[in-house]
Amino acid sequence: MTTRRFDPVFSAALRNELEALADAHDPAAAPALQRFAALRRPQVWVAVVTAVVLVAATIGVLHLTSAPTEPAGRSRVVDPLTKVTDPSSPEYVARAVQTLLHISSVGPGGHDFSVPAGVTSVRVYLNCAPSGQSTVDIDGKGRMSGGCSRDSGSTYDMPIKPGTHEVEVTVGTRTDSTLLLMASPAPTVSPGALIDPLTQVRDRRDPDALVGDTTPVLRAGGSGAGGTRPVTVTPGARLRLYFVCRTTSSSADVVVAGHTVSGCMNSIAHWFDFTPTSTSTTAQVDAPAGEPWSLLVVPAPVGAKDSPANATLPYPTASGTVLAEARGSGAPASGTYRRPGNAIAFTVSCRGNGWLEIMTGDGGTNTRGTRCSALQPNTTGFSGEKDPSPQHWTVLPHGDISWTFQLTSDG
Amino acid sequence: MMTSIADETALWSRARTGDGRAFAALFDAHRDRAFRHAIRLVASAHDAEDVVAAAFFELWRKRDLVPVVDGSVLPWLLVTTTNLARNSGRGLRRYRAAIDRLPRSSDLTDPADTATERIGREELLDAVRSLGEPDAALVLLTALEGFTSVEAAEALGLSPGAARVRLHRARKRLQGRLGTPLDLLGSTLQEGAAR
Repeated sequence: MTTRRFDPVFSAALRNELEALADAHDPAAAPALQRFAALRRPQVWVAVVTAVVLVAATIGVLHLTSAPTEPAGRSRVVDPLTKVTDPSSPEYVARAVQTLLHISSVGPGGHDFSVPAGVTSVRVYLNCAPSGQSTVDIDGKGRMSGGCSRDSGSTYDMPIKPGTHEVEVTVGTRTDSTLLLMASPAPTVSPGALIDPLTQVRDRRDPDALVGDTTPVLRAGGSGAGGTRPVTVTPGARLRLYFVCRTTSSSADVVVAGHTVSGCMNSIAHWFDFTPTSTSTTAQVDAPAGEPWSLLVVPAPVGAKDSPANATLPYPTASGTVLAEARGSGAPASGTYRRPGNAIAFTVSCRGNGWLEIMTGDGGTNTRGTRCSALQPNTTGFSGEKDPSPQHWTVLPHGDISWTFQLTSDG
Repeated sequence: MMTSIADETALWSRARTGDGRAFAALFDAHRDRAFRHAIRLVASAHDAEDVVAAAFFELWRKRDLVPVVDGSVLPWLLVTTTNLARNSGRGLRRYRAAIDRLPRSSDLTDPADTATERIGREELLDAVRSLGEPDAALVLLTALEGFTSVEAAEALGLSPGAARVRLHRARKRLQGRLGTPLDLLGSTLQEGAAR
């Protein structure tokens, strides 16, 4: 037997919309006709003058006696579910996400949640108001701690097994919070047959899908080294190029409009934005012999910038023992480490147009929605038990960015 | 979440003066009931969600005119839901852009109706469309939602006497058109909606 139920994503978004609608309402603003009719009465003027004097006096007294507080409208906690399903939001993940727990509450508390078979990783979002310190602890193992605000967008991923789990949220006793636990999206690099990049950029479930015009300017495919393909463009148009191949490779490249775009993978995670100086240019593919590839050029989305010339970034100064490190541009990287038994942390830095997705045996994060910077590295810490078995880590850059990744332990 | 009548009067009062949380709490309290009502009258769960969204937007737009029946705005919401559903999208036009901006779970499938259920719903909707606006709402509120004719009359701004006369005539017209006793049809649809 099935149950028709109100779509939870639509419901959360609608609820937010209605709440914002009412919050934005100025109760003093009465319909115009009523306002003008009321103004004809002298007693209304007496009341208005009296009210103005009282309000001014009250404001003065409050100003003298109270600390500054956050306006009521601004203290409302933003629902992270609305953000992760809204393509115009920087926190956008996908139109459809798999929610494991979605709850709004006041003060600290614990909740149970179930993880269905097939889900291997959970992504945690916590927003709260007023802003303050918070921790989210899953089964006493995965712990996220730090600052929390009404629209913090802070998130982390951790591996999880199917079954029932407990999450403990610690915030101030009178703090409103909204917690979202969702299944992490499936890996965006497909292990199967060569994907069609055009289908993928139009698939709203893909975190790198495009919302605007996706009319192909060039769509080509082949195997190994390809011939030269003409690209005809509107003057001044900025274009986005996707170079997809079945096996991740850093030796494949495509030369387009004088730029060399290095590396390919079976995903649209890597792209290159450019503005040709001529209305007629070419694209030339070079890939290992027998390696199938697909090339797609579409208009770049509104707000895109030309990709920078990537250079290798220096590692930030590490504190503690380095368990693993890597850096690069474009192509993903992966490796293993052994969990030492004390607290570990990973630090990422990046420069360019895009975002980073990190997954380790202890947890992961992504820099989407946060400032991706070479100057201000982003650090996420975890605690865990000693484990001599190799733990895997993966760095998947989305877009065209240079990045560094360091995994360190205390001591 | 349960909302008592006393709570709802206070909630509605706060919502009308611009308290977003109170308005959201009213949405939580009445969303499912409005959805169950809408889904009997439209082709899919997706359409029912649109109708419910539009009904709540209307609730806000007409907040100074909404009659509170027995301490609740639910009767008005159900009347509005009926009217929006039977207008085949015309009533939703005002809110179409706002509704389309809201994200949805694209992987949620609308459980397939049984053929009998779907036919029953389409027949009922056709018959309801043939009635005037207040008569359609009167019939649905009393036959499907369990309101008394006095409560339904209040929600529609009619006198109890006028509502009783209208209801009697509308039920006769519907029975003539459907060839089914209305109460039996109502219970069939209620079972279907709970499925």
